[in-house]
Amino acid sequence: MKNILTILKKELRRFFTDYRMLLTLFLPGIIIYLMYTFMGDFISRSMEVDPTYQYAVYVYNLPDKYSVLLESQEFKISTVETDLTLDEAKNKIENKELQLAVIFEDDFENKVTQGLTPDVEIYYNSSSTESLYIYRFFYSVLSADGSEITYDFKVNMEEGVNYDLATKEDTSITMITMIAPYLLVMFLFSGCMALSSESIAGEKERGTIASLLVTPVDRKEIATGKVLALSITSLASAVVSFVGLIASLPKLMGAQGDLTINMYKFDTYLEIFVIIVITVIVFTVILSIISTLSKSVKEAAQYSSLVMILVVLLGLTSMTGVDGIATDFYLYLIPVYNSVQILSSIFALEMSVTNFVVTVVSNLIYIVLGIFALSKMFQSEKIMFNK
Amino acid sequence: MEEVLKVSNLTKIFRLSNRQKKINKTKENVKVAVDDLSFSAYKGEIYGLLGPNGAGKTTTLRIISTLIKADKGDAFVNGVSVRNNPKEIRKMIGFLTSELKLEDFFTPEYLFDYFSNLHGIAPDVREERKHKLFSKFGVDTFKEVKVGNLSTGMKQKVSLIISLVHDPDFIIFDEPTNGLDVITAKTVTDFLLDLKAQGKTIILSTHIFSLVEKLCDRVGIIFDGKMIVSDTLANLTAQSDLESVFFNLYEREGQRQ
Ligand SMILES: Nc1ncnc2c1ncn2[C@@H]1O[C@H](COP(=O)(O)OP(=O)(O)OP(=O)(O)O)[C@@H](O)[C@H]1O
Ligand SMILES: [Mg+2]
Repeated sequence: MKNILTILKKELRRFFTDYRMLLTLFLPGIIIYLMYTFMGDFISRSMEVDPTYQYAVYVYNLPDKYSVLLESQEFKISTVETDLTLDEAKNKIENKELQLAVIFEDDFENKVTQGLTPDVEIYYNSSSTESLYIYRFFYSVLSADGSEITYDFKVNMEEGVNYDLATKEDTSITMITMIAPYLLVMFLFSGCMALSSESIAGEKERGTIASLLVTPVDRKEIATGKVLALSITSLASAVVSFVGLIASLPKLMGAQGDLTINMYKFDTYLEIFVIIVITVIVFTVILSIISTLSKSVKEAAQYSSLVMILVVLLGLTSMTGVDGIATDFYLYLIPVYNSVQILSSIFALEMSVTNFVVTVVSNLIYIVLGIFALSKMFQSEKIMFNK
Repeated sequence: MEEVLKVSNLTKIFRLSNRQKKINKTKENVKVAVDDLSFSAYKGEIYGLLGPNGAGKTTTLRIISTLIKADKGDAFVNGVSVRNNPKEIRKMIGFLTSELKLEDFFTPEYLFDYFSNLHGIAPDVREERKHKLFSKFGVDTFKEVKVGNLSTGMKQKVSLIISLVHDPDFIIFDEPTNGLDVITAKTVTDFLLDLKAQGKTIILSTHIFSLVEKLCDRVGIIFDGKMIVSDTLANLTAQSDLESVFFNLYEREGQRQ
């Protein structure tokens, strides 16, 4: 018993007096709290539907009883009636020009009183936030009413009818936009991490970097050479991840309805590739700096995994979907976040050229600055020989 | 006599981390590793830095070879300042110390080419030099074996050769025979005399008296970062052998403190 206490005390002393260990233990929690406080607000704002949005709803045979739905306080609804045929209306919903079509069966009221349970059909487009939003409102009101015994009717119950008019492409885009940027950024980072923490910190630990430092080679050249070699290797692993991802996406999401990647043309892939390359180099520079500042491979790995948490959180911002993509150009000055957001917008086929250019140019500047900082570190004996 | 190396008032103070304080069993925040050190080495001579463990020999040599910076003073190789023009110095010197390791993953052959290229040496010159040095040290037999699979002595030979890829005129060897068996050690000492015969200037550090007596023209004795004497071996050993001289000085310094 006494021994257990002695050991316990020693172990706890070990943990709680090692500032680096404390950092790895508690910093993640603190970072997560800060990030969510900062981002939570931001995400919920982007998920919200604009309260002044003007909904266009096509109604057919609307019983007087339900005309109140159109005067709801919550939604500003303008009705589109009459001259459209149902097919035309459906087309417009698919193209997101119209948010909803509500069709009551002919002679609805009579059929209800006779207990014939007539049909109500509500068509919507799940790839549009607004359409989905107003659909949920109509559906919940009507299906609640329709289940009353004295007033019985069926809402969207017809077999074999697809009420969701989102196209296969739209559904795919919605899913891919949410998930692919996150997965990509994660793959890229973990690929870079394995290599970078070993590379420079490892050379310092083993003493091989000093052999290089006594040669007349310029420190900038050493830094650039290292970063390029690491980037190329990481890129090779990234390309494999990318191809794997693209190939498996449709299968991976098979259960969610059939997905397709046919909507992506060569341009899209080219844009994605440019962003992947630049992101990999940004990651490599960040991780190389960490590796250079660390005393050992172990320490480099510890610090890198802290950065990984940040990258994961930034990656998660793609989960807000098509409507959550940042639009302000200055947000594209934030490294890593800009990669995630621009990837989302590329996958959503809604990329802004300005933001793409801002992303590429700002990251190029960060890369040059990072390499410059690295070469300064290579000149510092405190950093190169810290033990 | 042509002065190749001039060290003047060199001082190096290390700031100790908490861990280093524990290792060195000291409460001091700093360690004066090199203390106002001055000496000169001349063309075609071998200069020996002699001193006990922790005297500051390696630190002095690391400053001259530009790996670390002095806090005070400067060193000059052929008049070029180590402090102001480190890149120029790196072209002129060859440096061998146990601190400079070779990557285990590569072969001696590959590493020779790699470092030659970094020094900007033409391929034909490189091949000729490689052939000469490899056969001299018997590296030919294991030039295709990864460094990680070589013995300590083999590694030391490869390190020595690599430090000379650019055929420097001024060579700095920190404990060149450390960890070597007598046969390999003799190969190295013979080679140093060979280099001297070629007119090269060498500075080496050691705590082995016989090595100094056999090789050096000039000796500097360092205790605790300070240069106690710097003179020709002949002058120093005029009365008694080097070992007695060393211990006499050591006792005198002990009494002074
Ligand atoms: N990076 C460093 N940080 C702190 N102290 C150091 C550092 N390098 C050397 N020292 C200290 O400076 C002093 C001189 O060390 P140095 O390695 O120059 O001695 P040396 O003469 O080469 O000894 P040896 O014969 O053991 O190789 C020692 O007390 C050592 O502990
Ligand atoms: Mg030493």
